[in-house]
Amino acid sequence: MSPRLRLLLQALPALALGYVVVRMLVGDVGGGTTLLDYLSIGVTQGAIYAFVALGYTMVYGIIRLINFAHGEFFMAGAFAGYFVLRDAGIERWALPQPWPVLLAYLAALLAAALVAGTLALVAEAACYRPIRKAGRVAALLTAVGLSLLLQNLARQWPAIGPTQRPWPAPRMWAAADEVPSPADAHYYELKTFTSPTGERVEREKPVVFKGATMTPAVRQRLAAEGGRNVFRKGELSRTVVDRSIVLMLAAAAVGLWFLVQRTRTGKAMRAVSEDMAAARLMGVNVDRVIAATFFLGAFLAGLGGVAYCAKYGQVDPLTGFMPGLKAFIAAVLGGIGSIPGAVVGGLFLGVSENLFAAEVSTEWKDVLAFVLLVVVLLLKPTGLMGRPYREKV
Amino acid sequence: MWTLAAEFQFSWLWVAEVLVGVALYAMLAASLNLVTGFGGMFSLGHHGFFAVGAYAAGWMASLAASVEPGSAAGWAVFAASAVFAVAASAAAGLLVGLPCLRLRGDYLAIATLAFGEIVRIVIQNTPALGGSLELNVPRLVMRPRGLAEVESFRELFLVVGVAALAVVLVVIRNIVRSAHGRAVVSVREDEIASELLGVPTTRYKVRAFVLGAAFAGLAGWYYAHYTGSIAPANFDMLVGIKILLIVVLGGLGSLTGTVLAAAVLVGLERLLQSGVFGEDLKRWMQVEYALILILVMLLRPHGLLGRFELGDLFRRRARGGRAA
Repeated sequence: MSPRLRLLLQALPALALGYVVVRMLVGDVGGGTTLLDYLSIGVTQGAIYAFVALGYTMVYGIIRLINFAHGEFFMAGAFAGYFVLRDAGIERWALPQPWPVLLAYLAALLAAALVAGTLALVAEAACYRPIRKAGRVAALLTAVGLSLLLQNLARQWPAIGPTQRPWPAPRMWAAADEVPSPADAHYYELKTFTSPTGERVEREKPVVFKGATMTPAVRQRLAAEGGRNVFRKGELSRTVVDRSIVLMLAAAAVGLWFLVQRTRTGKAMRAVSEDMAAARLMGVNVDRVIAATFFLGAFLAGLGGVAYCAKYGQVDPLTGFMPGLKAFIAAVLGGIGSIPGAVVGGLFLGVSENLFAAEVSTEWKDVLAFVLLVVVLLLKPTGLMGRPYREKV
Repeated sequence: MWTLAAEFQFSWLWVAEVLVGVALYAMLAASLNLVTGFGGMFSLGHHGFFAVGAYAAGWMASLAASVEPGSAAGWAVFAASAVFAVAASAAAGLLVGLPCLRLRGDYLAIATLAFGEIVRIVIQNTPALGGSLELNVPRLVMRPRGLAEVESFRELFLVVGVAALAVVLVVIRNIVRSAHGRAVVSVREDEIASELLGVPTTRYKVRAFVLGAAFAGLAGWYYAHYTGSIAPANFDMLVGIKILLIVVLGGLGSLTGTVLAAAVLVGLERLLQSGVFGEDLKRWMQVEYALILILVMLLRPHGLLGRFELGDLFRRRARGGRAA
């Protein structure tokens, strides 16, 4: 590549940044949203990418494997969180009741992280460890196979199934008289009935749709059934979700930094990543260090899974695919193998995707990630924060 | 394409369709084997070139929608679309190869993966190519009506597929045995050493890459005309991975192994689909497929034949040795 072209390509990010700043000062993009809104969405999305990218980058840094099944660890974590929240009965609680919701979410996050981490441990012991010596291509294909296996197991497994499920959200109860007319949201009632198999099942039935008025007949029926209350589905407020995700990422990043830089395990991880054979000769238990890396990466992916699904309000067996791919790109953008790089790459990708969606087009948003990837690889093949690649002859 | 009632399974009609699939995937995998097996360039985006070829052929055929199937003009467009598909994917290969081949190992794999996805998304957003819906590819050589004609249609395409596959295999074999091929293999073995010996490594890498892309385009042409309608979903990452899987299973650098692996894998897939092992196994097919993939990788990480060709098994010098 000629030096002039290179200079031009390197000047592009600066130009883009200048443009964005100017646009932000000038005002809104349309529809009442400003570019600043897109920026904040971008930061949240980027934080989720970063959660997942950390796992990719740690595993790559230590055994040079692109762990395609990482997105499925994310999905498994999301489902674990889903079951905890659902079975904790978060849907039966009325807001405002912040503490129980917070506790339920903490439990869900913990469960998600542990389930994803355990799954990664099993996968590492069963698949990745035996294949490690057989070469990179075989290991990569094993990872792909594992990804397919987990996806399809989840689709076939009766408790999960292929359909998309709404993410459990707290309900905001109101007496029938309190529903404004026209209604400000969809309102539902909870009906219990006995299923053909003899189970008692709770179903939510819509009472009045958003913008419609509750008819007197419905009001009378509800009053006749003992003044039954109706509810609207409480979304956790967007800003609360967004801010907790970003805070969680900050906490995780600090924790991870501490773990890698200041503990014995972290030291061992850095040693194995530097030179596996030498680390083994120095008495480092390489297998255990690699297992710990997988566990830690998947632990973070599990947290990311709950965050992602809470933000987008649904979960299904293919949940992990697109975020996994994007997070992988983020990891490469930041410099695969570099922990700060994963955070920077994730945020960079999330922000630039959303700014692109705001300014250019939403349909071509997905292309942007891949084009960015190619451009960064060509300009700086080891990523934004990666160490320069040295060749030993 | 046509869904078959249960009674047609294992009929010649069904077998012909399976064999067409084997020829298609053998072609794709052989072209990737030139890039990955002989050239040592790890590509995860081969389905991108497959898509470029298929859409180039499909687009050209859709321009000739009024041509009578089976007429001389139909055959002419059929042949011309092959040339066009090959040229288009070779051009795409050059476009991707020139910048990306400066990357090595995993980075090249990632860049090619990005290319494959870009192709898919571009097609999805181009209305002239059918967008995310199907692009209808008009029949040029025969429009099958009724069961008997479907059968002869498949027989015809089986012949075309085997011929195309033979061309691809012979060309690759001859190239690998030529001075060009030796240079490509030397780059795989040790890029720095071969550069020091005066081999223009980048030039040979790009040539092998472009040729691999061109053959994938030929496979795309074949696929487009056989199915009669193509959609972006037919060219997702799983296809690229399946091609790579066949290459690894057949052994990096083994052409006969590639054909064998394509037959094993496509055959296995179709058998699972057919429900011959019972409904339960059919329902769990995707899970079993993934399990088999993992098991094969764990048990034979270097493929069925390694670097050997099928013929080597009967030769004395190959005995006792295993590919590294």
